[in-house]
Amino acid sequence: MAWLDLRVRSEFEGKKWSLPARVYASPVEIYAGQALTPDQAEKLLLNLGYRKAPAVRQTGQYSRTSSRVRFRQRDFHFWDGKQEGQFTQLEFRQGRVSAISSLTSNQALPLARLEPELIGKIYPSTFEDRILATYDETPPVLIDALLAVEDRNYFRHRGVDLRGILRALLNNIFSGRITQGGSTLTQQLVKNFFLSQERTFTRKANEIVMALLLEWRYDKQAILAAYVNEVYLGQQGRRSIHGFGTAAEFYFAKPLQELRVEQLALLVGMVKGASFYNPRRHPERAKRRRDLALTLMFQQGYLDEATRKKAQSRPLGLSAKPRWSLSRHPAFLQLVKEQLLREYDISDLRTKGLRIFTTMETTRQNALEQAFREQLKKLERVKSLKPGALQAAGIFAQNSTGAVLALTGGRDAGQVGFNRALQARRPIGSLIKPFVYYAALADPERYSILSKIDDSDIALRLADGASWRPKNYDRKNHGSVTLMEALAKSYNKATVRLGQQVGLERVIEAIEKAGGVSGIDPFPSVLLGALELTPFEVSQAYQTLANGGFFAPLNSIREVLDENGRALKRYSLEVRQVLQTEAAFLTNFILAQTVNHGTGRGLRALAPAKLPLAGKTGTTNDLRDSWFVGFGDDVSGVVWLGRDDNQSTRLTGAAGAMKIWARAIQQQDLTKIQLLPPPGIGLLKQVSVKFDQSCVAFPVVPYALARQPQGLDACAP
Amino acid sequence: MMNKLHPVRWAVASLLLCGACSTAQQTQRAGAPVVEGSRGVAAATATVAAPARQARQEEAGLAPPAGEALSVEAPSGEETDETLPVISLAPAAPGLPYGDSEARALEVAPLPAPADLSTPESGPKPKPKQFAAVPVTISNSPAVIALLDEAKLQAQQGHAAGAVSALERALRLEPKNPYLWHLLAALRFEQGLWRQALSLAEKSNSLAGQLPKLQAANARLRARARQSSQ
Repeated sequence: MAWLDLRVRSEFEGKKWSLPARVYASPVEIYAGQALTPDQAEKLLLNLGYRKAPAVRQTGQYSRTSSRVRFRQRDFHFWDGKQEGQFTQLEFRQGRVSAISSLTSNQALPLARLEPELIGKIYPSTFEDRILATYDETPPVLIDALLAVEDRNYFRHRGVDLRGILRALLNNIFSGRITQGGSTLTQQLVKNFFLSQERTFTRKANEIVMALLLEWRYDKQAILAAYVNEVYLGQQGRRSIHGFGTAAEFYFAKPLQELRVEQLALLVGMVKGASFYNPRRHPERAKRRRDLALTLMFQQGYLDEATRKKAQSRPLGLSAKPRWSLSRHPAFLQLVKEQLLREYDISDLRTKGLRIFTTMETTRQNALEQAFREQLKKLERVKSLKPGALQAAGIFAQNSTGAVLALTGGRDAGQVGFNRALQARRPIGSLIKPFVYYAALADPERYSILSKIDDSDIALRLADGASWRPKNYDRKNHGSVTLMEALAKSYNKATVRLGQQVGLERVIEAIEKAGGVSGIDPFPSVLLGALELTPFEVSQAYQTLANGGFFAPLNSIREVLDENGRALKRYSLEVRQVLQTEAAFLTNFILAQTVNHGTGRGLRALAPAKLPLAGKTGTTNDLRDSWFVGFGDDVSGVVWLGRDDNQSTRLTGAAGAMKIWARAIQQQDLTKIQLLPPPGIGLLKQVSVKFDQSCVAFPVVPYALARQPQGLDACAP
Repeated sequence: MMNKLHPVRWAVASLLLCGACSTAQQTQRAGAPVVEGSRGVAAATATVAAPARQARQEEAGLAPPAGEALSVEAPSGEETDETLPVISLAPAAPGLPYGDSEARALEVAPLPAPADLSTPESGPKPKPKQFAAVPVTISNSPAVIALLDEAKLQAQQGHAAGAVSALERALRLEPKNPYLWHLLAALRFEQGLWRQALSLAEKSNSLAGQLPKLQAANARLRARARQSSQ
């Protein structure tokens, strides 16, 4: 008895709920002038669980016309404090937001920040999912329903309801089996907290004693609050749904406080058997149970007749089954976890109820996943590959901050496992070339983008005495070409010759600094991309380049808050200049020409509305890897295609990865590349340049002010 | 928190900038030339169009593409002195598709002392001094302006982290706005994060090709950051 008392006290008082960490996407910020249609705005709201209503009365509802969207936002605790939910109105004109106003305060708003989408959770080892509700946050109707259905004498008994037990006992004797518990809420809680699930009379005796002890020591409200958070209400895969707060999210995609009476009645009805009354699997049975609960509430005076009738006439009103049980975007979540584990203990992540705000932009993430789903099958069909042969990885990042906006680690985004974006080390092929040209352009005394380089046969002596003769992809020699043409057209021989002139160590230094990697072996074949990097490292290297030489470590976490909303850590914007701004600018200028005239020109047909962009294709021996990196002013993206068995993809970078990349950006905002010359850059105007056997007139050609290009070949069309 | 579009009483920019360039205030009072920063930025963010595209546009009789605009000279008046203009918000340029320029008519913000940033409200406040208006458009986006307001408010209350957070939100909307990078650099400087201040000022500078005054301010900030870090 004393031992039972001790157990009750230590368990109940020391009870720390294991709360999974909640991981959020970046909140969408809507501002006047933004390119956004009412359809897109509606989609954003639907993703956040808003429901359409003719008149917007409750939080979480929206209405729309062809030029207006109104919605009542929920309160949300951001890292910079609580944002009070506003009744917000968006007005649209010509595909843009023309005005934002708060109907709560009748004022124009410069900016509306939506609540962020929940994209995953990090669960305790038991996989118990739980969203805590305090007694004050528990809707009174829920308590009414619990009392009516499970324990009508709760506020009068002392833990055990003798009349209830008698009734159950008679029933059991009558039926010859133990079918009814007659348990009070207190007993049910004790059973969940302390005891095994077997049905014996000893266990029953212990349960009764402990229930009495619990009631003796603690007040009714504390016990009820514990019950509301403990009760088991469903299962999805390994994840188990505990407590009404979690169940509200799981079955209705709403906070507990927003549920209507019949929705609460449904959840209370499910206490008796969450899987037997699973409303998604057995809707009829669940509805009967719900209506019974409503009838009991009516009979005991918690509802009037009209309310009962109306509630019983309503459908179940379930949300769509969550498409994910552990996380919606496991590959991205893996990156988040990896970065978190540098600073947090895994058990803290799993149990402390942390709230983690990430940099993911769900529109971009969904666009990337969709591009993989659609395009890979198509490519396999066209190239007569076995369905499922191709694998893929992709990353989009914000150039200026290094924030990872989208990441996929395989063709099936829902699959947990080998994350190719982070783990697959692959030869990068021609993706190295911009760094060869960067290294040259970083020496403006010797090289401008109009300097000539010879694209004829070249032989290199390797360390083992053998000689290496690189070939061009088109098997041709192109003679004397400008650096601009050689990079835009991705000529191998010119690149190797340039790399030799500049020095291998300079090239390696550039890619190592830009990509935040080290230890690349100085073999001449590096000049054609015979070095292995992960898509993540490639993304980092191009972030640096696209950001004018400023390295911003790729990051996925903006803020971590503890259970009480206190900031544990801010992850601030950090940049470090690692490449010369002018040389990076000149390289980017050529990469824009790559899309205009070079190996990336196919993009002009694939994504005409998004141009101009900068980009680079990459292809490795026997077409084993197909790469594309492209960037606009704000965002850069990497796509890799290959096969886990390292066989040929039968795809060049332009035929494979670039197509997927183009598909992925069609649904994204991407600011066109605007080459803003840094202070050290001058511009030559109206220059005709020989480009691929013909003359092309460039309105401007940039050069480093340190040395203006002299003696340009006149090139007349 | 961000719910009001304040009539613009804007001080953060000037406050922060002048944290980095105290001498600027002195000269500024004499009435420095007005800087049309907006033109500078517009010119600076011109697109280098592909030749083919230009040809198409010319055929279509459109305005010459941005390649031209790239060559626009720095706005007049910029080169006349060494000092940085007090940056405060100008009315939005006319003809903008969005935003109510009336609502954001400039009211010149009195300059608080730079020390306000690091000292919380409690201390005795220096009396604000009046300066001549030298408007520079930091941004034409009401959202960015509101976030700058928020940054200012947070900075004045001594919440450096909140101010940084608001500036970072603004930078997410306009990642190539050199003023925002400069303001962040100045804020980091005030916090004593010299190395970050240095990098951020360099970043600002790499975007300030058409803005000599901002370049000069960045140079001063870098010099001070370098000095302080030694």
